[in-house]
Amino acid sequence: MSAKSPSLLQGTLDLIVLQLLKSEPTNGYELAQRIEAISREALSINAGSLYPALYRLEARDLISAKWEESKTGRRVKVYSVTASGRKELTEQRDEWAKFAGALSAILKTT
Amino acid sequence: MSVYGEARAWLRAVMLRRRAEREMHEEMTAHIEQAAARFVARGMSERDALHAARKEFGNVALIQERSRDSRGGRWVDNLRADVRYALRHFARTPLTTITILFAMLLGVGGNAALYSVMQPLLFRTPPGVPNDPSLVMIRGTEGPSGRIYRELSYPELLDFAAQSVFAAVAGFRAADVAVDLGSGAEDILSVRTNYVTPNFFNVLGAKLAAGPGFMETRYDAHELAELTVVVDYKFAVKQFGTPAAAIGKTARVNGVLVTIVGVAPKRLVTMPHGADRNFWIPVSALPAIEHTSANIFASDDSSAFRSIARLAEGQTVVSAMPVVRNLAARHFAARAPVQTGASKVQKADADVIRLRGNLEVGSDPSETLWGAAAVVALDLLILLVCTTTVSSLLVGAAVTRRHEIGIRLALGASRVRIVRQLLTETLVLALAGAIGGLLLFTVIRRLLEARMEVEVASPWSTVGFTAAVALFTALLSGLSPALHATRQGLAQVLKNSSAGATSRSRLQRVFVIAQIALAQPLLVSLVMFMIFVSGEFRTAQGKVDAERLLVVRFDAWSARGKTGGLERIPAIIRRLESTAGVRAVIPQSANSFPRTYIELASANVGGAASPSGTRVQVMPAEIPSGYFRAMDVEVLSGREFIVADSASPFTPIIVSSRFVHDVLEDGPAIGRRFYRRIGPWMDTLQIVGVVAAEHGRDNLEQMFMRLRTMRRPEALLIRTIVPAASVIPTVRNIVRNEAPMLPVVTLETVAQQNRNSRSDFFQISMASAAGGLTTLLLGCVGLYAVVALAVGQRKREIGIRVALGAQQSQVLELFFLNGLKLSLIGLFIGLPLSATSLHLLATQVGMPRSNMMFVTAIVALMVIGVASIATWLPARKAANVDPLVALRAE
Repeated sequence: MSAKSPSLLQGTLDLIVLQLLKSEPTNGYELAQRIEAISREALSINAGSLYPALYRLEARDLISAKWEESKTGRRVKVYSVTASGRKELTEQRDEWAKFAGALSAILKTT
Repeated sequence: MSVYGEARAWLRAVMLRRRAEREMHEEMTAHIEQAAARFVARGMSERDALHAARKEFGNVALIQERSRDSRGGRWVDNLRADVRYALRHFARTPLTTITILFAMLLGVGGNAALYSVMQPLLFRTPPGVPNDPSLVMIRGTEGPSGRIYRELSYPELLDFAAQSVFAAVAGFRAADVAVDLGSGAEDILSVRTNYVTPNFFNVLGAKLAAGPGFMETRYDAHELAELTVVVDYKFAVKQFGTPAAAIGKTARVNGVLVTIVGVAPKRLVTMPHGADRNFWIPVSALPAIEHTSANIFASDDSSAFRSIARLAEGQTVVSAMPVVRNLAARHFAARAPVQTGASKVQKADADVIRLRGNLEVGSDPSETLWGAAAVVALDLLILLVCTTTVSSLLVGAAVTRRHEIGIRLALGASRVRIVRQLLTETLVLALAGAIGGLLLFTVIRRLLEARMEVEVASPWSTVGFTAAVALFTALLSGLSPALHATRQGLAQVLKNSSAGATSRSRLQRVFVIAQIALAQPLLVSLVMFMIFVSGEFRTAQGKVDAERLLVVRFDAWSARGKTGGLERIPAIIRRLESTAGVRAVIPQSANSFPRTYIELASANVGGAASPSGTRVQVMPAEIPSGYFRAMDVEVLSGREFIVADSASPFTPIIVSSRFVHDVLEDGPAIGRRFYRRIGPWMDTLQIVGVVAAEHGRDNLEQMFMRLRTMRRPEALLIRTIVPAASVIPTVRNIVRNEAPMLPVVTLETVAQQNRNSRSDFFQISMASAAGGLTTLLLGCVGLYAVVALAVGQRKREIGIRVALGAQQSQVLELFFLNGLKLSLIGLFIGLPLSATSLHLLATQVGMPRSNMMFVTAIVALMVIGVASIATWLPARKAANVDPLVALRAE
């Protein structure tokens, strides 16, 4: 994680990875760049957090990987979400929505 | 993760590890290259861009480690690393490794061999019978405890067969018969025969190796005598070359001609008879061959059968039990009660057990509890000796590695990690020992199956058991040393290297003491066994040349009640005595009396002598009149037995000079009286002669009683003028002509008999000695390790002592006495264990106590002797320490 960016809540990295891979399968480097871009540099995931997360999700069968040739002709490992990954993503989004709603309600109190 | 996911992760970790590593490396390299391309696009040089990309990525090795943890199956990597480390360590310490391997091999291999023999006896059907849980044995019992076994009557068998709990019932009755194959060159053979119901082999599920089998198939067919026979496999091969060649051949069984219609499956025997002769004859032929009445089939009083059965589907031993018990009670009530004086017929009962062990002595595992417990105790003893040896060596090894372990702890390795590493090393050794043990077991298995009719557990069953024992041994012997090795941190280790070592070597000393203590009862038992067995192998021959003595033994059981059998022996003797080259024919009983205690009478002058209470254990030998003269044994005083002795009010006995020396302390012997208790009566024995002690007689066989002419002799000792081997064909012809129903079991010279016995005895004693000495050797290896470790640890101290003027002999004495102290402690702890095992041997096995003290003393001296050598060697090394070298090295 970057020193300038806010800390990721524990457990949210998996949710972020699943969501982004669902919208577009990609390799680890591109995924890290997309996270930074979409969050407008608010979130920056380093390799030390990203790759363990990717391998963890792959071991749990939530994402799958295959080797492809990128646009620049380089061989890269592209990850995509599996059916069980989509199901897990739905569940985690619901959990996060509940949590966010509850937190929001608390923060609104004076 | 789902089960499928877990399995996939495991498989990937184990089978695709290299590919996964390669891909991870490639992926991270690609990430760095892509980042570098981004920096190049911003205007950096390629070199700077790569440097920046690597910096941005982070510590590649650390990230890869974290990624491996996330991937799963990490334990496989750890195990591989631990095994590689263990192998490197073994290569650095070859002597210790080989010793530990050897100990593991013995412990695990010994256990595997014991298991492989006991498991079939307790849990499998007899040899040659397919393993089928529905096979049972129906046993007749009687007596209040139901532990006296009786045979069943034929009507009982038929009744059992009619019950729905059984799918089929077969009966068999054992007998020894005389078989004449009619080839002319062979003696009459003594054969173990079972008269069986025609469905016998079907019930067993045993497929014949050759031939169609019995003609009749009905289980209750007995009216028409079927004169056929099924022979055992070994007999068929020995007599006819192949099983198929035996079919159609004929033989005379007790003089009745029968035809061979089948050959039994390999290894099927009803009882290991020590010979390759087992016959199965249809029960319908029993009256004709045994010359008995057919009433045996109709009467409940003729109880002569045993029974096997196959349970019907859905039935169990528990459901069959009340059925057989009710039937047995009904038959008992129908039998005419026999009242003879005070005795009554015990109430008859029956039970059902799974068919295990062998066919003639079926027993339930619960009934062999004591036997099984003894085997388990022996098993545990072997395992304990081996694990204490291994533990002792591992503790020593751990002490020498304390610096290495301390450093690893300081670098961040957890205690669990190091204990796991040390346990892995022990496990690798245990598995290697297990593989060696299994190879050893394979050799033993071949030996057992070839020489004895012993069914051995299946290889897979044994492999499973061996693996379990190996794991157990590794944990038992490796855990304690591993925990001790990791107790101290580096600071403690560096601060005071000897303190921790002292506590660890204390543990090692405890193990060594335990080994020496445990080795003693094992050694003592083995030596007693060897002495006991050696007594069985000697034949008394006096001063006569063994090449001029011939032994002929008849099978009395086979000949009993048959015409042309035992009653022809006097005629055989007369013909032999008139044969050229024969000097004397001495009839003998085949066996001596069982061991008996006699009491020495007090020396009263006049009046009746009364038993004084001193008891002497003897094994009287039965001999005929004229024996000592025929055998050139000198009569030192008194006389030989005479015919008039049969009318004596006392039982005349003759004793040897050794008996006079040992029991009577060389006092007057002629006329001395002894008492022998026979049930409620007291038999009075009186010495009528003293003879010179014979070579070849056991210590217990120093008393002789007259062979009563009422008892038919069952063996002949023939003294010849010419070499006895030349007379053998003549003897064979005479026996065959005079007694066609009398099988000859032994016909060989005493010299040949002694050679055979020495060979058998040699094999048994070598095996026993190997076992005992190996145990002792292992204990002494441990002792050597303890003293050598102490020498290594105290090198500096020794250097200082020698520098200050200590003599070499003083240093030698210091370490030698310390090591000897350990062996003496082990010896004293082992003495009560030895006494217990000897007591069990005397009471349970019947071994004589006469040699036990002597053997215990010899074993103790041997243990001290070998332990002294094991202690002296490293002590001598200590005495030769150069003080300059020792002090400079520290």
